Amino acid sequence: MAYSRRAVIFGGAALAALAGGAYTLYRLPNYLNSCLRRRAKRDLSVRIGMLIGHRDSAAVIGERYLALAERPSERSPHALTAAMGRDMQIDLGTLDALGDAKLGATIARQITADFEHERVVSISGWLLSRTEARICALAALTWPGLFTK
Amino acid sequence: MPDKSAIDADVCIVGAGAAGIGIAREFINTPTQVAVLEGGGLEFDQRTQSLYEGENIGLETFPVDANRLRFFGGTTNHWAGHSRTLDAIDFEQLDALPMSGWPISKADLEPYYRRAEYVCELSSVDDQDIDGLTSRLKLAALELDVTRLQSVVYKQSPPTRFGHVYRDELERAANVRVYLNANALELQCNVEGTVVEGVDVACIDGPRLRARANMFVLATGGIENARILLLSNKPNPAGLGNASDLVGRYFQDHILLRPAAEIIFSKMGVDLSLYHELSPLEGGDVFSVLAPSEGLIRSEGIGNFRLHIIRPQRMSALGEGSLRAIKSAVRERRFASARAHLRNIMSDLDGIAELTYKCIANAPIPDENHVLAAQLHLVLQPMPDPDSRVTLSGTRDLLGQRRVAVNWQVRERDLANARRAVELAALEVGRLGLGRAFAAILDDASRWPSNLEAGRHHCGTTRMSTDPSNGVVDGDCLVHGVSNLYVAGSSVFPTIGYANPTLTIVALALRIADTIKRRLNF
Repeated sequence: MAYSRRAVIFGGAALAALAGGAYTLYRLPNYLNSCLRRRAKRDLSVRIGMLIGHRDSAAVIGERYLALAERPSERSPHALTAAMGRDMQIDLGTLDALGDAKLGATIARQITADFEHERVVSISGWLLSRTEARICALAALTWPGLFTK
Repeated sequence: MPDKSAIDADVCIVGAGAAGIGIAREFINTPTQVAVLEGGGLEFDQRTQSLYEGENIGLETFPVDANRLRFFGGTTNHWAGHSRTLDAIDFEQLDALPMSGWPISKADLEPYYRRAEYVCELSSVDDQDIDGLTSRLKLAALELDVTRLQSVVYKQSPPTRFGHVYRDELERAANVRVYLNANALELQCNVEGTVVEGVDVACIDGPRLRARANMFVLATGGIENARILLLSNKPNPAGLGNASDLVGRYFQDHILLRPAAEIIFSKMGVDLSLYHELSPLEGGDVFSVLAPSEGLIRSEGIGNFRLHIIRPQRMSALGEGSLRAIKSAVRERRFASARAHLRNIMSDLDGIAELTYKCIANAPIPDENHVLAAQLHLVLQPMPDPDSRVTLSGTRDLLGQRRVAVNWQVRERDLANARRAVELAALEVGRLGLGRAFAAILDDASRWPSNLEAGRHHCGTTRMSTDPSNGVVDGDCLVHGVSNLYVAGSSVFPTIGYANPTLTIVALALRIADTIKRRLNF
């Protein structure tokens, strides 16, 4: 059977496309992973939660905070972040636009203000700033267990 | 002395503790003949001490006799020496503090405080001037929110054992005679009960006597003063000075929590030596404690209190236990030490103002064995309560006299005040960035922590008031309705503030001495 030159060119291109596509498909999970990880890092809830490097410690404190009877409305990253924004009287978009160092400094000032204005919680007898308890809760909720690289 | 002998004097002082010795000394080398009756000897004796035994029918705190000493010098024989004047607000009538308000002001007592400080061998530094103190000692005070808490000056007596320090002076005094092992049984009055004519006295296994005088001072301590008045039941069966049923009532003692809270520091090198070390200044040692501001007392109606900052050897089981409880709520996880979690959190968060969050998240934490920690000890003024009281029990002592029954009570309001005091300290610890505080009372505000103690400062049982229906003695400590009987000691305190009572006891005693001198036309 004779193939036309056009058929060969188009067929080759199709195969190449398929091969390229197949290669792309093969590499898609890693690519998606890195895209999603970058997306997760940019999420404000995650960024705030990542202020604490000792994630297991945060989980212990944070889960106890979330178990407090008066906190049912805060059992999601979004609710926690929104609550923090309200206390700080800062728009979440503005907060998210801060670089990491400035975000940390803003949070630190808020913790001091919490003690000044008695926005505190007792976690099994330890008096903590409400903000730091929420950060612990965020860390516990947003630890990206799937994205471990 | 032979049985049924008489002791005659111009002034008869019953009791040779801080108050009794303080008054007696004021009459040395005067024309006044003074007799001092001391139930014990020069040294501790168990049989004599047994006369202080009684029933504790209130809170389980301490045996009734264990905090009082019945020998020459009285309870100063085991006095710790902590001293401070009462605050001006402690003398005021406050709406939030029932039955508050002394009939005298701090200004009335101020000249006597200065003299009392000399008697108690204290520093002469002004205990109202913390700034002057820190400046002279070159020690830093915490930068507290003074609308909440403030650092205040506290003084440390050597401590002065009155029986030891003033024995020679009294022995040499020709006009003062101290009678040892002379236990006062009751006061005998005229038929109307308006004049004390004598004191019946007994020695264990010895003679019974009567002491006669023109003026009498009852100075046997916060519990025994009430007991003797209740035992003096002729002509009034309810007791001498007890027309208003107040003798023995409003018994108050400082409420102690030791520790009340524990702090773990998030930064190294916090200098608290002003608070937990003694510094010599102007003839005595001084240190500082935390106390509420006057504004806070007025706005919140909280009882006055003080907090000592103590550096412990190690973290107590309380804080560690709490963190274990947190850990146990997360059963799948396994952690070496729950306390480390809180410190990890603090090391992360407290430093984020200084470093990028990544650097701090990876920062090493202090070794657990070297973590800095401190305890807070709380001393709290109780709310006066008429049902917290000293009465007579059905049992009798070696001399046949009815013993006391002590019913010390604290109330929900006291618990709320204790919690608030601890909370204020924890708030300041956090606000100052020092670290974080743990307190059992912050975890469960519905009951007292298991380490609730009494301060062993027995007060209020013969309270002062210008109104006989509200007090046993008047502003001069003269018993209402009795023209020649004064009561000296902490039993006259209507409210007790947070300061240890000894300095105020001595100040009031010196004031009584001056009052008696005026009556004797000195």
